[in-house]
Amino acid sequence: MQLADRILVVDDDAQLRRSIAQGLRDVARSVVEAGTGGEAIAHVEREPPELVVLDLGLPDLDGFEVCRTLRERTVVPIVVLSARHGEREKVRLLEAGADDYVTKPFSLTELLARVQAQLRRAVFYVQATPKTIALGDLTLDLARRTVTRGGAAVHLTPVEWSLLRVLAMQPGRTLTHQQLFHAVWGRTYGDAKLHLRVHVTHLRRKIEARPAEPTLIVTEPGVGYRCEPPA
Amino acid sequence: VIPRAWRPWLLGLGALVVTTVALRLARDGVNQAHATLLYLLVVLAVSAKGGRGVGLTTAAVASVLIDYFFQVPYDDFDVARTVDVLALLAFMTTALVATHLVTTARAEAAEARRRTAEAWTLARLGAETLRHASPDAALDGLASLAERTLGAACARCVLCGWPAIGGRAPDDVLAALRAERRLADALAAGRALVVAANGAGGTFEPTAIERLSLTAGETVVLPLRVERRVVGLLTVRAADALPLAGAPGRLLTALAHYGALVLEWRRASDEAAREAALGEAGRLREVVLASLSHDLRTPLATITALAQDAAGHGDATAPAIVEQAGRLARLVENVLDLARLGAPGVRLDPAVNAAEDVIGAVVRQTRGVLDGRALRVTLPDDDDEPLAGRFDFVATLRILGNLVENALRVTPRGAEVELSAGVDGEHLALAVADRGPGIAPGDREVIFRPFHRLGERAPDGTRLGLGLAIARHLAEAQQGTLSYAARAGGGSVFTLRLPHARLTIDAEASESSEASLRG
Repeated sequence: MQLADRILVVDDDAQLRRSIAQGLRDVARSVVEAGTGGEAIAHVEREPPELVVLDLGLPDLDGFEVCRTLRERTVVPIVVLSARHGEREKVRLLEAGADDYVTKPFSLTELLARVQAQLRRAVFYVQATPKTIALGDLTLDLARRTVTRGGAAVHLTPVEWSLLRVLAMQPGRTLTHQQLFHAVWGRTYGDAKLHLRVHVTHLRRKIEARPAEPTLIVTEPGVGYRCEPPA
Repeated sequence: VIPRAWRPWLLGLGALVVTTVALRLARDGVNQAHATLLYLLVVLAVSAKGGRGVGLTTAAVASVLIDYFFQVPYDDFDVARTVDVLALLAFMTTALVATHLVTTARAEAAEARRRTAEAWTLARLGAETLRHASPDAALDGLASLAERTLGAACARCVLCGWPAIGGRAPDDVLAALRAERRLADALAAGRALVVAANGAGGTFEPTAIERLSLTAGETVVLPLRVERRVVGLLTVRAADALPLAGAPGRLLTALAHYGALVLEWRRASDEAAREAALGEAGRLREVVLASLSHDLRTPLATITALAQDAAGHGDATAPAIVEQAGRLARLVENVLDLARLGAPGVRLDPAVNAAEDVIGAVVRQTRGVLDGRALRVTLPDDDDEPLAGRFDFVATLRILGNLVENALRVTPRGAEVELSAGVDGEHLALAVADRGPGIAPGDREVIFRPFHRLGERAPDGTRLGLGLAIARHLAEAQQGTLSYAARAGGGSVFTLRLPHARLTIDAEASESSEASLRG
């Protein structure tokens, strides 16, 4: 299934870059490759792609800077490849404008799945804000601020509603604790993680079939939360 | 050269002689009143300059001189008129009272000057404490200020730490402390010492310092205290008789306080420096680990991607390459984790978390390795209150993920691994149970040691025996425990116990306000 016209793959390791490009040809009509941050920025300026796969370990520029620079020039999804596993690193990345990240070593299948999810989300974004969002058998009515499951109303507190709406509006995207806290509570002070842990736990008990095995609101350990719409 | 003590007397004598000669020469032109007033002036001047003794003597001598030279009959001690006797008495009284007043005022002025000087010295002590860039320089500065203030009678003043004297303490004090254990004990208990030139020592209460008078060669040792702790010593060695009553005693007491303050400063700055060094080492280690991590993982990513590509083209050996690369990746991760765990400054961040949240993450993380086996989750039936504990989410996920992966590895396809949560006394207990072969009784602690040899006998030959060591380390780092028990009916149960907590916003209200203050 071809979801995109053009995807840019930025990686200094030529072999890895080529095999990623090879894999991505299944989802994009053309895949362009860049070996340095400078080339990547030039590419984006010359012929904007619909998605960027960016390896952070680049020879010429700091990966974070490349990510931030790309984000200033384009709204398309950026999927980052990183060798670092630390949560702080991930939080920094997401807050620098990355849409998703895959840690090395990764499987091509996993990377393809992430890329496809981002492309679908991008399509979702291009459309006008929807009136309703469907998450499996759950339906969010954005105008009436109600949630129903199979027609039956699910009663949420205002905070729970707000959490669910913010997450559901950006399916597949991990929102950091601070990003979510800011979006829901509209402030940056206070213990964001604690507030989120309490309210996400209660929200899951209302919308998940099995709260201990959540499928809709997924915890990204040490980073934040993500809404995963059922395929 | 006239000795200093004689000067006021000579002054009084001279003034009287000059005045008497002058008045005597002009006796025909002056009356008794002129002479009396002039003598009164002399008495006042001499009192002001020379003090009480000289003043009173001058007054008495002046009375006699007035009587002899200037009262009729002249050049005779007889007094002709009663009124002259009264005049003489009036002069004497006035002179005595004036002398008394002048000398009292003079003494008070001197006392005030002395007090001002003392206050100034004490203030200088404070300034000296703060003026220096380093605590050691401040200690030397205080000591030399004390030496200057105590004067020539003070041979040497030294401030040093205790019990780490650090090469600063004078040798005779050190020798005395070494020779007599009781002296060191008394010092440690907060008493002060006097060490004689021959090394013999006695102890006294530091508050009694003003009752002490040092003789040449004696050394007084005062403890420098912070609260009840002795942190240093102040030693003063007398070159000459050195009475400590009054100002010198007060100076030494103040010096002991300031010295203690400087030593505390030194301790605090040493600690800060140590922290900084540790932090530096920790950061360096983190940089090395991060680049190692990058350099080890990037080729693995390439190998995996290439092999998957090949597998897609029908290469039968490629899946094995992918699998081996996966094992290598896990090993790299474990080794790097082990290296990180030993690093200073690596701290976990235990916070109140719901048990079901971390269990959900475990389920998600291990979904990919189930391979036909099942992971069954059991949680207690709680109506409203979610089961929660105080733990670091990522570390706990790592522990449970490792336990579940181990359990899956010994579980045949079609069977299941159980992951359950419950409250166990003060703890949140998370248990992973399998129906595998179990662990032999002798090996039940061995498996928690890093690089234990048991792994070689395990079905998966690549196990280096790091996973459980890391897991236990992580459990203990967040006030938890990780233990093994044989499972009834066969198999193993690994139980992770973490501090139990309630998941409410109120419960952590104080903590969060602290956190926001820190943040």
